[in-house]
Amino acid sequence: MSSHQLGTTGLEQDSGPDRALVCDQAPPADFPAPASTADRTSAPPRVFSEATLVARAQDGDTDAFEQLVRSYEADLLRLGFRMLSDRGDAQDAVQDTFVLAWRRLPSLFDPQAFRAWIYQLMTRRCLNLLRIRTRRRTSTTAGPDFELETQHRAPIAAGSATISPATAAQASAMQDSLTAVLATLPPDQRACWVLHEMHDLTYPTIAYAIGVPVSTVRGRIARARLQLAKGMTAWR
Amino acid sequence: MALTGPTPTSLSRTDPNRMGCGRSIDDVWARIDLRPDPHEQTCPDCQAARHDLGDLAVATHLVIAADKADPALRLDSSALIGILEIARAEVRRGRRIPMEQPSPGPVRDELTVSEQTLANLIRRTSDEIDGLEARRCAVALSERDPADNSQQASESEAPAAPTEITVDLRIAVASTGAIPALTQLLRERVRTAVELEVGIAATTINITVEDIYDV
Repeated sequence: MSSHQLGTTGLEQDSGPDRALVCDQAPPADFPAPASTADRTSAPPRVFSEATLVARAQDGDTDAFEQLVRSYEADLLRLGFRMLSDRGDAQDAVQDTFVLAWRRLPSLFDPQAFRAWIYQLMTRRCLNLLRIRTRRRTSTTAGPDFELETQHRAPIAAGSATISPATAAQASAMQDSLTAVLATLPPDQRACWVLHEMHDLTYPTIAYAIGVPVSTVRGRIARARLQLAKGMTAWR
Repeated sequence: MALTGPTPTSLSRTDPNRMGCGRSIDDVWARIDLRPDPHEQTCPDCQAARHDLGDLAVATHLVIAADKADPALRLDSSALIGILEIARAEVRRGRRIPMEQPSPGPVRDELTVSEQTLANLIRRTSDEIDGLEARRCAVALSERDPADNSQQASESEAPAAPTEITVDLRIAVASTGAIPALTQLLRERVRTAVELEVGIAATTINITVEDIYDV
């Protein structure tokens, strides 16, 4: 049965909202012919917009969901590491966040808001874990149940032979300094600062992610910045 | 030093963010990657703040670069597999749709297909068309005309009619796409694929263009 016949079988009952948009013209001749099943499997995977992936995942399309996981895992792990100071805990938090996201996706009203939403799930997961940690620590009066992990060094010197060992050492000292001072900030402040300065989230997006007014976010980031600058100066 | 130094008077008592010169730490931070403006070139408060914040700005860039290059800050493949296994196990397959129209008489073993399978088929079919992206897709049994039913009941010996379904498909269209031609092609492809692969008649295919994307 050709596609031309299909269009005239009388089965057309167009009632969609786009009815007015559909005119009688035939598809242009340069439209590809319907592909066979064999062609379909060999075709390279298409790259879809995020809103499309989100809508499909909402309908239970696991391939679309996998693409979303792949495009956010690195960002969420970086957030988790800076919040929790532990790579293993960050892995667990990211895994829990994506599973929760899959379960709650059908209730996400605006697919355009996925980025803010997934950051919200991850940030709240981290803040909850930190609350549990604090409770555990005060109840057992033991020392910290985790140790601040050492900073992975970016290959600063690689590719730029002009950087002297002194500069490289200074750079790594600055990283250690920021890492150490950041870990001393209250979790709520740290979350706001990390989301803004390391993930480029806007104040309103952070307000949505954490569930506080924009003015609170602005205040926390300003205080965090002041504490970090002071702390780094003192550390040096 | 504006932030830590022995001259606390350079910071306002009411707003720790506001310096004696009237500018705020936020103002300095916003300009930290730029050359100092004329005020900053002469103001001691701003110069001190720029110095302290400059270190923070450099350290921030370094830490971001280090984290992005850290191979341990990528999702474990076992974690990825775990996430996707849970997702697949929890797929909402939706109702089962009989592949033949229910007819009066003794109940037979019905061949059915899940809404999820039909939606997947429709999405895959849509993916073959450049210039549009299929988004949400719902399928449901079409409402039968009661007159049609009574007619069928009187011809109980007739072979079972194919199931008729209604498809509601939401799509995004490329900004360069011709919507009438694309939706017409999409309707034909979906109708053909559903008929060929599951033997069901997609009698109504409602297409909603909900978005335009740039290419």
